Amino acid sequence: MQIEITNLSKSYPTPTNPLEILRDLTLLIPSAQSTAILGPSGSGKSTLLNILGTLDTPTSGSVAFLPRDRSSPLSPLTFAPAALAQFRAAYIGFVFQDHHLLPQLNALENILLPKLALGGGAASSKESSDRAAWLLARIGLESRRSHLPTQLSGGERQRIAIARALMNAPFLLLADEPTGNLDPHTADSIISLLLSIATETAATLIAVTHNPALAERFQKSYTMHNGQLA
Amino acid sequence: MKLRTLIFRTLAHYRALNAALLLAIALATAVLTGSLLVGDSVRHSLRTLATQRLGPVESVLLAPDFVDISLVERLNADPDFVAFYGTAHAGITLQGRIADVATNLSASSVSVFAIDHPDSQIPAGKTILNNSLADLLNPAPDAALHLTIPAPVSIPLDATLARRSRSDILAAANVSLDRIVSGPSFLSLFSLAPSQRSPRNLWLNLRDLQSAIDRPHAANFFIFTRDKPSALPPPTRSSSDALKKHFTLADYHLALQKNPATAQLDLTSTSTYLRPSVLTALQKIAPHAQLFSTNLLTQVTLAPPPSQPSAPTPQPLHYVIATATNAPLTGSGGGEGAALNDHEVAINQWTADQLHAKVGDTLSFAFLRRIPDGTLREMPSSKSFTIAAILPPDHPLATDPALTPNYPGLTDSDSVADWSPPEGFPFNPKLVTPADEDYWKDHRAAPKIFLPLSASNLWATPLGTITSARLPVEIPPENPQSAMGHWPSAILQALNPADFGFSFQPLRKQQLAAASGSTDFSALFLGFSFFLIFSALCLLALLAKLAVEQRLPQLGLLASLGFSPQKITRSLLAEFLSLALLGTLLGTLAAIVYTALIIHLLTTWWLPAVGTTALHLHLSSASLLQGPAISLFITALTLFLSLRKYAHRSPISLLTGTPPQKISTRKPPLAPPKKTLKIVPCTLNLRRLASRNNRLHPTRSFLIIALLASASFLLVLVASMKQLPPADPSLTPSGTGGFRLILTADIPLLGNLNTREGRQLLALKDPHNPLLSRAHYTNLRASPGQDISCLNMTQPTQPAILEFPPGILSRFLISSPPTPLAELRNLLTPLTGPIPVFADQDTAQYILHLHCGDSLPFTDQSGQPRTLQLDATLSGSIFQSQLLMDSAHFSALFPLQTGYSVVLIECPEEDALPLQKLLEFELADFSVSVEPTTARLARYKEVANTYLATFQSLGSLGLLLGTLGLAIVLLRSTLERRAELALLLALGFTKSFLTRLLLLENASLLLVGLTLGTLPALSLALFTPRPLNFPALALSFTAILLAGLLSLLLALPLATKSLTPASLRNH
Repeated sequence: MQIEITNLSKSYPTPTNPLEILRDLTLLIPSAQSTAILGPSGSGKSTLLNILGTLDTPTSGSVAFLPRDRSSPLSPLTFAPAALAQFRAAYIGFVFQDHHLLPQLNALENILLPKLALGGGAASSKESSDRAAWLLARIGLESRRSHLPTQLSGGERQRIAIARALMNAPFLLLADEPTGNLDPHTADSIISLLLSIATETAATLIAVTHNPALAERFQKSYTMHNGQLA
Repeated sequence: MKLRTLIFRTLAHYRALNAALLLAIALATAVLTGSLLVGDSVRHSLRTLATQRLGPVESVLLAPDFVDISLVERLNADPDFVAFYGTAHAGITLQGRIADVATNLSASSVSVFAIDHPDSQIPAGKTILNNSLADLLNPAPDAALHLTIPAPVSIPLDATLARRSRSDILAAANVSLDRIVSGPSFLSLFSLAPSQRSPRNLWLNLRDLQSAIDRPHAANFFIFTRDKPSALPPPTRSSSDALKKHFTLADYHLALQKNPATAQLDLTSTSTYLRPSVLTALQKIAPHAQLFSTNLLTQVTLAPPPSQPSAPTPQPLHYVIATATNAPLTGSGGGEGAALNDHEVAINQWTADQLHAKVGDTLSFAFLRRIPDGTLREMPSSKSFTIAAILPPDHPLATDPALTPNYPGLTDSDSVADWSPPEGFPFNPKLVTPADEDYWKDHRAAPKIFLPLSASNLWATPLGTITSARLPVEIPPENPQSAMGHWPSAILQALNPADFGFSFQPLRKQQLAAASGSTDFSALFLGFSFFLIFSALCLLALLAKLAVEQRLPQLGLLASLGFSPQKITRSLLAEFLSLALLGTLLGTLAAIVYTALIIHLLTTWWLPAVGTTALHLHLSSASLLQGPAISLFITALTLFLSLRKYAHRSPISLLTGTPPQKISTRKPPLAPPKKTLKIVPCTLNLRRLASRNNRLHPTRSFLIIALLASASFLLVLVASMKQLPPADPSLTPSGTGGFRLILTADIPLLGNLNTREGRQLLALKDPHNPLLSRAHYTNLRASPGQDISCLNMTQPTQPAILEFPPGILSRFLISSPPTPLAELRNLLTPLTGPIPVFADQDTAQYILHLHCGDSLPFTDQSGQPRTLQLDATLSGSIFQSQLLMDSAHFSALFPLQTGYSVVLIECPEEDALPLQKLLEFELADFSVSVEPTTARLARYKEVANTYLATFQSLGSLGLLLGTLGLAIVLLRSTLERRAELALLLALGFTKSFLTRLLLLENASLLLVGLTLGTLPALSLALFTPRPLNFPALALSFTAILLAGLLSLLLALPLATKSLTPASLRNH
């Protein structure tokens, strides 16, 4: 599924002039491509990621998801809140800078959480459980399945967060500075994991990072400045 | 994994906060349900008391006077009656005084009972006391006791020739103590009036009591008992109709006798006068009956002829019996002719001879009249009467002693000189002539003078004036042997027991209904606990918000993972509702403990409010369902209102864990012109920073200040409402009306203490005592009835009524004045319309639930249904126990009520105590109690003050709980300002500085709230005449302040624990 960003703008009102975060941004992201977005703080990277992830809405412009079969494009930002949430659950996976694991759930349950969002008892099916276990094994933490987040290291938590993002086999994987809180070695391994899993699952990966070296490992990288891509 | 797994895990993970939420919910449920259960417990206790009080009694028949005990046999002989109403048992009930002969300790307001029932069999010569009475006497086993009770009288006490001396109206009995009964038993608690307060009961053997009052076969009330509930349907006819067929003429105090001289029937009353209801009946069945009103004239004088005004007149006659009648007297022979007209008189031959009078002469007379204070006054007739006929000796009425009722001391004397007239009768034996004695010897008290019937109004009494009726005899052909003809049955048919004041009362039904209480304790305690419930709910809302705010990133994560807002809301609600369910369940259990605690406090600390220790815990399933259901609904609503905004926040703002910051679009003010610009020194210290921070969330700061301020305002104001009697009771207008003492007599006083005659009539040992004469007495009559003051928790149905003389109203504080025409209406209102009454404001509002203009149904002493209308209310008066009614209406509604049951006394301050002791000693036989009006007021006010103390206690607890909310505000505030606080740490501020800053911010809210509430309330309180209990107030506010500070100090480490400079990075 391609992502077509057209004339995307985002601004906030201020007492004087509107504060423009994104300015008339147009971009086509091919299906299954890994993309890194670089840029200084306040350049609009995270805002772009949030809009792509349907967590935020643009002031103007559109984001369209184009299926491979060239059928009619999807514009989820126009969906009602419930449908939008369902779209997010089914097609988008998030990895945040902070892992945001639920402290009351163990590793396996945290991975299963997106299935719960899908509803219909998906989270309690054997298939889901098997997939969560497979993901846990894939990230090399099968021995930690019953551990609570407080019993895991920072890197392990972020791996769990990646596995959680992949639980519903999303076509779009968004990562907002996923290594921001990690040491360089762990950061490198996390990026490797993200890229390899994205390739394996044919997911479109868009990651925001400050680290140009890490960005180089992505198929495509953009730099944002003053709300525009360079 | 299922959603419920997530919910349960979350519940367990945040167990500390959830426990706090659980406690808040449990507290709200406990107080809410507990308040309902308190109401249930009070009502159930009152019902239990009523059941225990009534024992086997289902209903009761109260007689206006003593009747023959044989009525009980007639009633029980009717199986239908017994099936409907139960088995009848005769008894006597009186109010009196008991004294321990050995110790001289005495008690008034004693309810004396003697009932011919197996449950109340008392050995002859013995008595049983209940523990309330025994506590006052502390009698030794077999103690000799002296009982004083009212003696029955045959002549109405308002009648001219009534005997009203102490010896005539008092009876006594000497008995020894058999045993003392205590506990919730029939003997201990029985009372005809519903009340939660224990009566002072004394039980006697029925024969002993009959003997003491010299009525060997008399009873004045009948109880009806049933072994088991009747399977029969309830009676369809009225109780009066059911009773009627068993009544005889004697039960109505009537006698029908054949006059041997006239062969007519004389209908007379053993209580002197034929009651108005008898006359009404006679009008229907014997419209031509001859009526007679016989009375004593003190002097009869023949006027000189108009043509010879200075001609000598014969000596006047003294002590002449006269009768006013409608009998035809002007014709010869008496058989035919016309009744006397209003200015005519007939005399018998003896009188004509004594006065040398002839037809056409005029005569005048003097007679005795009882004035309202009970004193006899000799009055001249207002006009002269012309002699229209002189009855010859053979005239059937000329010398008929049957026309004169029996006046003990007079008609039973052998000679006129031997008369023993009633006290106050100005009898001079020297005025009795030999001719008088001869006449007495020959004709006894046969009337000598015959006046028109209208003249009987001169000596009318509230109970009537007609002393006999003469009926023609008609022998029925089917029963020629009958001497009375059809008259007995015709009269009985025309009479109705209710018209004579016989009152059949379904006592059990009435008292169980009254047990619903005059005050809804559920509502009362809900009101008292308002702040407690409100604080618990505030705490709940704050805790719920805190719980959610702690987990905003989690909610953000769920939203970003695709959980819809509805699903997040459902998940949160499910989580909190499960807490609510558990909290409600715990709260319901706690409600039982809370109720038990309140009941314990009501029977100990707050006893003055309820006046009984017989309250017990009662768990009603209705309240145990309703309370938790209401609590659950309110909790769910509170949680929903507290949480709904979070579910719809954007995932981004949730993920950052901070509320969305609104960017102000307001333009900044223009810079001032340069020429006016000057450097203002800018200082920033801890206090200023704290103040600025509080202004950052003005709504939250305002709410917490408003809560604390309103609670403290109310608490101080309530404390200032503590009511005390006036320091100087002699001032008017006031609650005491300027009266220093109030005297209450169980046996009404028949003498006016203001006059020497009155004091002599009351047989005071020293009627000339200056202590007595220096005082002024306002004498009031009172009807028997239920106490309607706040001292009685049951719902009164037949209030006691006190006579209220005109002009006295202005002496009292009036809260709702009568309409300008009310006083006039008092005089003009016909008895058929609503009868105006006054009441104390508290009584009207809290016990009777009446406003001015409202009506109240009432049954008068003659059994007539009446409507009372509240015309005005008095503020904080000594008349909380009765309704007040003007004298004229009182006389009409309570014709049997003679003598003064209440006397208000004005006297110099230094006389008050000795006068109180003197009156209690001198009038002890009347079962008198005298107390300062301030003491009476203090008793009433103690109830209100106890309720205020209850409100204060529960309100303080609520305020205390409210201060805990401060700690939560602090925690929430810290959560929201993590970035700001982390920044301060990053800037080099120490954690200690932050702790002090947070403490100052929140402690200032506490102080400002308490100050803003307390100061205005104190300034308001200073303008009221009531003193404030400053030490208690200061103590409670210090406790609240300390509790608030303590909760803040406990919350501070928790709030600042996770604050590090590094946490700034997350924001």
